[in-house]
Amino acid sequence: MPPVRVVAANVGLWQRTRRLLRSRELVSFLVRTQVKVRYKNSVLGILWSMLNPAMMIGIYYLVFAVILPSGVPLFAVYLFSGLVVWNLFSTAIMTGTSAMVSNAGIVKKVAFSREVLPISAVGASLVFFFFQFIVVLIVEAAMRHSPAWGYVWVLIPALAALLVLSAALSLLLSAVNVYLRDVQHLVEVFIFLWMWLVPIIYPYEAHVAVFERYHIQIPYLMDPVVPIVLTFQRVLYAIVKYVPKGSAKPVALLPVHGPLWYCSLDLGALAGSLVLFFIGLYVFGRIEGDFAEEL
Amino acid sequence: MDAYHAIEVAGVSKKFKLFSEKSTTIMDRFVHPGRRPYREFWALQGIEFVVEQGDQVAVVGKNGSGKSTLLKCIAGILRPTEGEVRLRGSVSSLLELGAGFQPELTGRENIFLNASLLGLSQREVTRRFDDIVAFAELEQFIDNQVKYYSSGMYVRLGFAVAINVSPDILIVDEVLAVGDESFQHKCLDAIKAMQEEGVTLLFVTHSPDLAQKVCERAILLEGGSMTFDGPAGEVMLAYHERLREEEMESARLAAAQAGGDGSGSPGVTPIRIAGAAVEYPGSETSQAMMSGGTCRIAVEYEAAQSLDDAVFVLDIRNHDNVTVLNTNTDLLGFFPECAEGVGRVGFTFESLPLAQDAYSVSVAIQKRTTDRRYDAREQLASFSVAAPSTPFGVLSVPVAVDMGGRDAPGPAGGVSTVETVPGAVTSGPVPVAKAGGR
Ligand SMILES: Nc1ncnc2c1ncn2[C@@H]1O[C@H](COP(=O)(O)OP(=O)(O)OP(=O)(O)O)[C@@H](O)[C@H]1O
Ligand SMILES: [Mg+2]
Repeated sequence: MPPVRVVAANVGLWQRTRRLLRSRELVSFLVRTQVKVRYKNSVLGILWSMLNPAMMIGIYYLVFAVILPSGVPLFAVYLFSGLVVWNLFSTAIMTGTSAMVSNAGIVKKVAFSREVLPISAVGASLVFFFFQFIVVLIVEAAMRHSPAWGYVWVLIPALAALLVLSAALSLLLSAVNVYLRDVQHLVEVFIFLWMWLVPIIYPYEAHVAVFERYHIQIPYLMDPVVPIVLTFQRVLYAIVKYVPKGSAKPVALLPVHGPLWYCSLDLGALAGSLVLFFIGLYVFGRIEGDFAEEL
Repeated sequence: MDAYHAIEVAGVSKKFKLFSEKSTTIMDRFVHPGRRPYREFWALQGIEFVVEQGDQVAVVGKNGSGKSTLLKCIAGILRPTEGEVRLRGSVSSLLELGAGFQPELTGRENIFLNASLLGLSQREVTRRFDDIVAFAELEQFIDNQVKYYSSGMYVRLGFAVAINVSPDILIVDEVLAVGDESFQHKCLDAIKAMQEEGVTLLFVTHSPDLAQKVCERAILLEGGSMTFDGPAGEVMLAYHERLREEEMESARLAAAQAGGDGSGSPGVTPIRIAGAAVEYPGSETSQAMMSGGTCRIAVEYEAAQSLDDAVFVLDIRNHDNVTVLNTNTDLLGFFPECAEGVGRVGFTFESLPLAQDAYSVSVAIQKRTTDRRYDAREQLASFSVAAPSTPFGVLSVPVAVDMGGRDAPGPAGGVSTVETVPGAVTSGPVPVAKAGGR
C-alpha cells in the first residue's frame, strides 16, 4: 500500500522542506528551461549573456579611465567585480518575485511544490552570473590583472550566503506578490535604492569616510549583501589601497583584513539568510494554499 | 494486492471569497481601508467519500456545482478550507484546458515541463517521450510553440502526458469533449487499459453516456454538496430527473411571467403529459413483445384548455441510451385537436423489428412551429423486446444469406444495413397515430 499523502489546510515546515529537497531535479529542469527561453529566437543565444557585460565593461572603461578619470585604478574591473554580485542578486529577486504570477498557468493547473518556482528563478540567475563571472575573468586576464588567490576560497561562503538570501527573499516576495501585484514594482524601486547603499560604485572605504564625516553610525556590515560584495571585490579586484597621482598618502578602497574576517562576515550573512529562508518557507506555506484561486 | 482506499475525502469544504472587484494593488487598499467588502461563498460543503483503489468514479453536476473545485482540492491544487484529502499513490491530473502548458515553449519542451512537474525524472520522460507524442499524434507539431496549437491539440497533448506518467490515480476534468471522435475513442481505450492495470479514476463529465460507459459509480454534486453517490446509471437518472424538474420549474416561471398571452391561467401549463402505456396487441404476455410484433404506445395527456397546436413527440431509446426511433405527430401528418380534459394519443407500430433489449419511451409535447415545450417526460415508460436469435445492433430483421453470383438477390432484396443513427426516423415500421377522447 503506497504511503498516504495528505492535502489539508496546513502542511508542516518539515514536510515542506523534505518535499522541496525531493524536487531537486525539477528545479534543475526549470532552471534550464528558463535559460533556454531567455535566449529563444535570438541568433547569438546564450552569447548575449557574455556580450552584454563585456560591452558594459568596455564602456565603463572608456568613461571612467579616459573621459572622466576617477582616480581609482582599473575602475571598470572594480565596478564589475561588485556588479556581477549585484546583478545576480537583483535579477534573482526580481524574477523570483514575479515567478508565481508569470507561471500562473502551471500554478493553477498542476500540483507540485510551488516553492520550486522562485527558487529556480534564483538558479537561472546563477547561470547568468557564471557567464558574467567568466567575462570578468577574461577581462582581468586581458589586462594582466591577477585576482587575490589567497582569498578565493572565501567566495564559497559568500556565494552560498548570496544564494540563500536571494532564495529567501524570492520566496517571501513571490508569495506576497500574488496578493499585491504592486510588490514586483516596489521591489524594482527598492533594489535600485539598495544598490546605492552597497559599495559597488563607490568603494567601501569612501562610503565609510562619508558616514564618519557626518558622524552617522550605521551598522553597515549588518546588510548581508555588503560583506558578500566586499568578498567578491577582494578576490576579483584585489587592490586594497592605491596612491592617487600627486599625493603621497595611500587611499583605502577595501577593508584591510585577512580572509578569515571576510569569511566570518559571510558566514554571519549565511546564518541570517538561512533563518530568513525558513521564515520565507513558512510564510509561503501558510498562504500557498490560496495561490490557485487568487491568480 | 489487497484493495485499499486510494482517495479518502474527509469532510472537505472550500470557501471562496467573492470580491465585487478584485483589487490587487496597494492603492485600492488605501482607497478602501480596512477589510475589503466580500461575500463568502462555500463552493464545497462537507464532501465525504472514499474511492477504492482501481475504481472509476464519475463526478456529475450542473455548471458551477463545484466539480472542478472538488477535483482541484483532491489533486492538491486548491487547499480545502476544512477537512482533508488523503491520497495513496501518485496522482496525475488533467484539469480543464491547458494542463499547465507554457504557451511560449514548444510541445516537446512542454512535455518535459509537464511530466517533470508531475514528478517524473528526466530519464523517465525521455523514455516515454515517443509514446506520449505517438499517443497525441502530434509528431509534426511537436517542435512548434504550444501557443499555435488548436484547443483539441492542447487537450491531446495534456491527456497524452497525464496518462503516460503511469499514475496510480488519474483525475480528469471534462476535457475529452474537446477532442475529436477518434481521439475520444483512443482516450476511452486508454482509460479502459488503465482500468485493467488498477488505476483509480476520478472524472468529471457532462455526458451521461461516457459516465456510464467508463464508471460504475457516480457522484452527484448540487450547489457544493454531494447529494447522490451510487451506481452510475442510477445517479445519472437522478441527475436528469433533477434537471427536468428544474427545467419545468423555470418553464412554469417563464409562463407565469409571460402571464396573459391568452394561454390559460398563468403558471399552469396548458397541456401536460399524464402517462404512457405500452401494449402489445396479439402478444400472449404483457411483459415483453416479440421482435417484429405489433406495439402500441398510448400517451395520456391532460389539457387545461383546448389546443390545436400540440405536437406529440415520441423517443424510443435502447439500453445504451441510443435513440432507435424518434417521431412526432407532425411528421406523421397527424394534427391532434385536444379538447380540454384528459385524452390520449396512440402510436401503433404494425411491426417493430427491434433487437432483444430493454427500451425506454420518452414523450414530449411541443407547440407547433415554436421552440416552446409544453411538457416533456424522460423515460416515462419502458418495454422489453424478445427475439428468437439475438443479433448485435438495434434491429432484428430476417436476413437471407447466400454465396451469390449474379442471380442472387441484390442488396435491394434483403436488408443489409443496420440503422444506428440516433434520432433517425426508420423507414421500416410506420407508426400510425390516432387521437381520440377516452
Ligand atoms: N477562484 C475562485 N474564486 C471565487 N469563486 C470561485 C473560484 N473558483 C470557482 N469559484 C466558484 O465556485 C463554484 C464552483 O465552481 P466549479 O468550477 O467547481 O464548478 P463546476 O462544477 O466545475 O462547473 P462546470 O460544469 O461549469 O465546470 C462556482 O460558483 C464558481 O463561481
Ligand atoms: Mg468545471
